Amino acid sequence: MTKKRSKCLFVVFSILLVICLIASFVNFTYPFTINGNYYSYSNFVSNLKLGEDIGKTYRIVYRAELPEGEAQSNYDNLRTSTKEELKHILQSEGYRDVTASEYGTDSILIQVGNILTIDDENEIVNLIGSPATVSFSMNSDNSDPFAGAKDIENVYATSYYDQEIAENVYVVLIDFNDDMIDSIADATADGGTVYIFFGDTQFTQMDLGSSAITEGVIYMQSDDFQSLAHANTVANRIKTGMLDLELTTVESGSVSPTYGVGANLWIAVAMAIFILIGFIFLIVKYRHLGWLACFNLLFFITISLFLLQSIPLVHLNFAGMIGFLIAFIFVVDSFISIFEKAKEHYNQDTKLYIAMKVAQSETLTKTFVMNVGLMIVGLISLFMPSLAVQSFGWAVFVMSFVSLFCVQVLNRLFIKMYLPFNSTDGKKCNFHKGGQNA
Amino acid sequence: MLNRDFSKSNKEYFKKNKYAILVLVAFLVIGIIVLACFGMNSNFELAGYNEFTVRVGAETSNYNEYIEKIQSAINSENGDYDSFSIMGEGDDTTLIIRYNRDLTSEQQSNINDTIVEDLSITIEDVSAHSYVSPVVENTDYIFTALTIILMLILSSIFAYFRYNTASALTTIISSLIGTLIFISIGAILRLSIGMSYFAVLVIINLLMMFFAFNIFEHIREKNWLQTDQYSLAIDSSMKANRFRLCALNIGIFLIGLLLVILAPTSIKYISLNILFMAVVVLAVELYVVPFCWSVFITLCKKREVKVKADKEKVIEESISKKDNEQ
Repeated sequence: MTKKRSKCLFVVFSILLVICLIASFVNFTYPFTINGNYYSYSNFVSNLKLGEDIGKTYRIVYRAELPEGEAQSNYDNLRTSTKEELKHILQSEGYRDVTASEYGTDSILIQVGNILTIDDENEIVNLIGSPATVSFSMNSDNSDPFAGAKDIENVYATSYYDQEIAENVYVVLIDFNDDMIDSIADATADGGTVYIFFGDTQFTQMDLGSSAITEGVIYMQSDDFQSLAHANTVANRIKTGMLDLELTTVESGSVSPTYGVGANLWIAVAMAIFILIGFIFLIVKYRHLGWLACFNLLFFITISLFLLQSIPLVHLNFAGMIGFLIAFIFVVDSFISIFEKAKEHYNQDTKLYIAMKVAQSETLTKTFVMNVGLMIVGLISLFMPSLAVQSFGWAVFVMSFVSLFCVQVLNRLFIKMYLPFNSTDGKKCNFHKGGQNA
Repeated sequence: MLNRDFSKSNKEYFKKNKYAILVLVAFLVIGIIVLACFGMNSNFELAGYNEFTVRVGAETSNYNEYIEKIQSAINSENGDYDSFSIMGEGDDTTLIIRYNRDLTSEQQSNINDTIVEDLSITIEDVSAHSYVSPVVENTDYIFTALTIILMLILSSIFAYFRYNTASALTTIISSLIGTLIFISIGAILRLSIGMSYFAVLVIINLLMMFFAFNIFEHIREKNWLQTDQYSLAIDSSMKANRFRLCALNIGIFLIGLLLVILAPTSIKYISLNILFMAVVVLAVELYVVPFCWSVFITLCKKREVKVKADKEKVIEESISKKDNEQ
């Protein structure tokens, strides 16, 4: 590579790095409008999905009461199953960081991490925030209902294409237990109108005409169902109303981290100091090569942040942050391995550029094995039920890929770019000939 | 050809490092006793906690002053303050206070009275105390153990094929010893154990394996095993890796220390785990790994020589048998 080309490449990579750093750490409003509106950019760090221990959490406390006719002795078991079901509903909608606890003697506490925006909060409220005990009656005053929440086998939102109006119609499909088919058919034998109530409030009504419901399935329609998401919200309300206990929301809202206010700030400060120590160490020990490694490490950090915030399943809690640091240690160690090997060769009277090349190829297997090992550990951790271990797994799994790229690809390139400036003077890298190495 | 003096050099190694090894063994023994008698000191995530809310309204911008008063009110009634979160905003701003240890209803109401008096708020602003059940399930313990076991199996397979049997055995034994020492320290010092502790257990094993492989890699690279000078082999590898080992672990230790000194109470407990993790990894790599490796390589080589001698003996016997027959 010629000196001129090296210079050009350094300039290009420096510009790229500045862009990466801005994208990672700076929030700003775009200096132009779209349809008269100003839009703002949110950086990678703000978009990281943090666990409930160090990030914002949405919490709901339900009072959980026994339905009529249930024995008090069953309460503890029913509360446990209800708690698990609520957790399951949220997890099936993609919320990974969910904890469910028994709260006091008669309540359930649900806490959901990874809350980034007000939309996330609204979605949780829609999902489980307002349980509805659904009932079906042929009378508009909800007297003598022919079926209720406990008779439902399954409920979900779906859609079909209505050719008459040439539009998609969104419905909530309510599938009743098999043993209810006959009684529902009897209740609706004369046709008429089915009134659907959420608690004591009528939610919607369906005109059956003169036909009866004979298959134990009701397709619930409403003017409110403007999209599948709307229908899904209602389906989830019914689902939470189908739980073993009757739930009433006592308190809900977003709260600061469970590890206390400022926890994330202190962790960020500690991480920044650790990274800084790593940078200083590399620069002091390897001078020019240390600067190159730091240049590379900044790419490593920004690429990792980009991936961690963009992969939907990734969530970071305190353990994930430690995973970040561990992956950083591994990548720093890879650089040290390469530079130490180069130092060793240079010490044996090899020219600097040859020493660097040989060091790269000699450490290839070692760095590859280390990173693949880290990847495997991360992968194993992903399948563990503990959220902390999973979070750690995500951090090391994602970052070991980036580490491989930075150590094997970027580092080779940067050293190639550096050699035209200095291919002989090892002193600039703190290398000394003939056993003078520190 | 086996270096016959190597068993002797193991003894010398033990003599040279006896205090360090004795300290590790002492931690291990005392830790296991404490663990058996008192168990671990689980934090709110594992053992559950008590919670109440204090509505402070919008006027409070400096929560620390409020929290200090609430903390002292809890601790004065023998409670164990853990952490706080802020919920809501404006006039609805509410502090959620968590503490460990169950208190009687009289103690709870004393806490509430003290808070009302100290913060100049009304009794309606302080809620009743509720117990919150643990968020960690038994499966979490089992699967964390499984993760570590799986890691040990995979790493020992790797060590067996890339290095040798002694390295594979050293990886397993030193990791197990390190994990036990770490758990023992937690039990002795009554460190608060939470969800993050599971991840720390995985991390400590990962670090121990990582550094152990660095040590084995150096021995492999320098072809020390072909020279039969195992004592020199491990010494030279330790010499080559000591600086890196110390630098990285001291770095981790300093981060733990920084968080212990400056971070909020709940982070302090976990940070203590990070701090001790660095100490344990360093101790294991400096003392346990070289010692285990020395012992195992001696045993393996002895066995190798014995097998070889047995084979030779069988061959000699069969030859002499044939000669006799002829």
